[in-house]
Amino acid sequence: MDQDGKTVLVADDDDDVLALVVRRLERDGYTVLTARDGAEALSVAQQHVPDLAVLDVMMPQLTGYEVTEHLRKDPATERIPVILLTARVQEADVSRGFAAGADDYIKKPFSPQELRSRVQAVLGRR
Amino acid sequence: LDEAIDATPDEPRTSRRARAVVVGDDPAELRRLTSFLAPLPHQVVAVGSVGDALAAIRSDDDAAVVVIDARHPGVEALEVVRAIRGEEGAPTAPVLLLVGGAQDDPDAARELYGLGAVDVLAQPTDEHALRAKVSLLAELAITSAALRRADERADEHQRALAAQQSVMRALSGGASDDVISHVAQTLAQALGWQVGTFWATTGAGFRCNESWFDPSLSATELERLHAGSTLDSTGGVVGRAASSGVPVGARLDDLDDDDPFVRAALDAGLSDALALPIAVDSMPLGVIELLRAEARPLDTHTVATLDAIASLIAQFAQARRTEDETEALKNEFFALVSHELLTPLTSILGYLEELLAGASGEFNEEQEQDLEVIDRNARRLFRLVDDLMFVAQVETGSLSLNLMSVDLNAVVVEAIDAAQPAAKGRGIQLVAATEPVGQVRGDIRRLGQIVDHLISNAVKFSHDGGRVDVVLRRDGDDAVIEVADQGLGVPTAEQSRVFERFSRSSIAAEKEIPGIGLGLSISKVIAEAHGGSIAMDSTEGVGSTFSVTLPIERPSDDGASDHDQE
Repeated sequence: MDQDGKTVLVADDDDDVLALVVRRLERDGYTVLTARDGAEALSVAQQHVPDLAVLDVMMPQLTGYEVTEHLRKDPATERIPVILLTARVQEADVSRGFAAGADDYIKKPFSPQELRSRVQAVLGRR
Repeated sequence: LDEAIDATPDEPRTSRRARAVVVGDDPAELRRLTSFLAPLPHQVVAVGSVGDALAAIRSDDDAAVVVIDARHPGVEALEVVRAIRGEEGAPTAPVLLLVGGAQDDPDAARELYGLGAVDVLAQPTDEHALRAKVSLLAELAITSAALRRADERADEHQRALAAQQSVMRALSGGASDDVISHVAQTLAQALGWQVGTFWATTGAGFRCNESWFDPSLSATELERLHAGSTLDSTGGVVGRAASSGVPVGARLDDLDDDDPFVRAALDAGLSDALALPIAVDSMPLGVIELLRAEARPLDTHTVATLDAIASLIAQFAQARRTEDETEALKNEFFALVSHELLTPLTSILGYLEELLAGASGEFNEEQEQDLEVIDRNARRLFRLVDDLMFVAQVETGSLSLNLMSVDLNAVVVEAIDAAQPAAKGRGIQLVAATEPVGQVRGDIRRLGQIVDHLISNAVKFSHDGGRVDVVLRRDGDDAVIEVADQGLGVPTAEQSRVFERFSRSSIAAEKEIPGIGLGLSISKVIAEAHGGSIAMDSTEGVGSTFSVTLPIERPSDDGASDHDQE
């Protein structure tokens, strides 16, 4: 599956979830960058400006919401699409994600197949 | 009264002494009349003018007898009586004894009696008669003053009790945070005071949280001073009430009139101040300050009731604080639980999906079956976590539905299909009887959750080889889903609790039927959130029928139907 070498940043503080997402996306031909907390995610995003960021919401340092807000404020990163991974189910959390500037959100636990199609959809939209 | 008033003395006010005020313009006669009365156990005061007479009566709010010497033209008896009777705020109704003169003019005498003069002594020189009459009238004055005071106290206490009721009502009805601020108004109105303010304790002193002024009061300056103002902690009744922890009452006259608040209150015609401290575990929360125009000491019963009201408010504040803390803890707990439980589930289910999809190569049949068992149980665990989080959502009032037009036939058919494997495994027959019912406006996932739950429940409670009937029918404007089993049923005594959270029937526990008692309570919440209802009809040993009623979408709703979220 040729994704024209598109780069996806994946940030999650849980190594197993991170590895699961990375493997799924790498199998689909994406170049994957990883981060284990919000601050690292932000710095990787600023340094490499990926085509997409998949961010866990509950991360140390900065939450997924905060990383999204920072990305949106910086002209260099403001156009990076963001998909949030959230274990929180309340409507308020979802709207907070969109308010922060996220393009989509996926509730945990998610199916890797579902993640893959959401990623394709968001990248296709841009 | 300029001190803590929890010890207002009642006793001295029931004194057996009255005051006899002798009014006349002839000093020699006054001396003579005074000396006649000297042997009586009462205070005797001689005055030479109407004004002095009024002052003498007012200086004593107890019993008074007025003796008017009307034999000389200098003091006009009618004038004195009119002045006394007409004096507003004259605390007592003095008993009048006229000496000489008046009875000569029948019209004047009639008016005097009409105004309340009670006796006329024609022979003022009769020392014994004068003394006997004054003595009798003094007793009468003392008794009536005592009765009047008792009456006032009873009235005031009555008002205080009524205030307690009002405050309780206000507290139990109030959900908003400023309910305590409003209590100042409730209290002032119920007690008949004209100003009620809640001063919230701050680090440095107090902040005026809310102030109420009787509309009849003209106190523009006082209102202006109150609006959003702060007080330092030392000054006035508010500060003293807060530091002593007991109610403090004061006459505004006795307070520092350099204080702009005191000055403005006096200018507005107010005379009494009362400060009621509200404290939780000796942590001062604030002070309710009341002001009134009427100057009257508070009796001990009233103060005790006010104290009770203060502790009522404090208890409420305490309960409220605990509630808020519990609520915050609960929310934090659920956020943590959802994250901590769902993260490992994400890995379990995600890696399983990858394995089962053959991402890491093929498995033999036995391995694949084992993986499916793991997958099934991981999903079961996820459903349980999801149910618990659903309950948390309902608890925190954040339940949200993704509304769209839902075909209930499809929902029912899907639920039956999903339940078939478990039913077949125990030889249970699932029988469906559906008729087209139109669309229902709802959250398809949540509605599916109800039907899934009712069917799997029916299967769980059925005997092996039994039968479960699933009916979908139309009943007027409603769609009705019925799930009937011929299983264990629910004992009559437990039926009223089946829809309560974590309620499990004794039979379920006895037969070790798995479950934690959330499904039916969740089904009820979902049905009701859709404007519908759920009911059970059950006989122990015969079986149970659950029916869910949901309103059918009217054709006019169609326009908006598929336009919602998701």
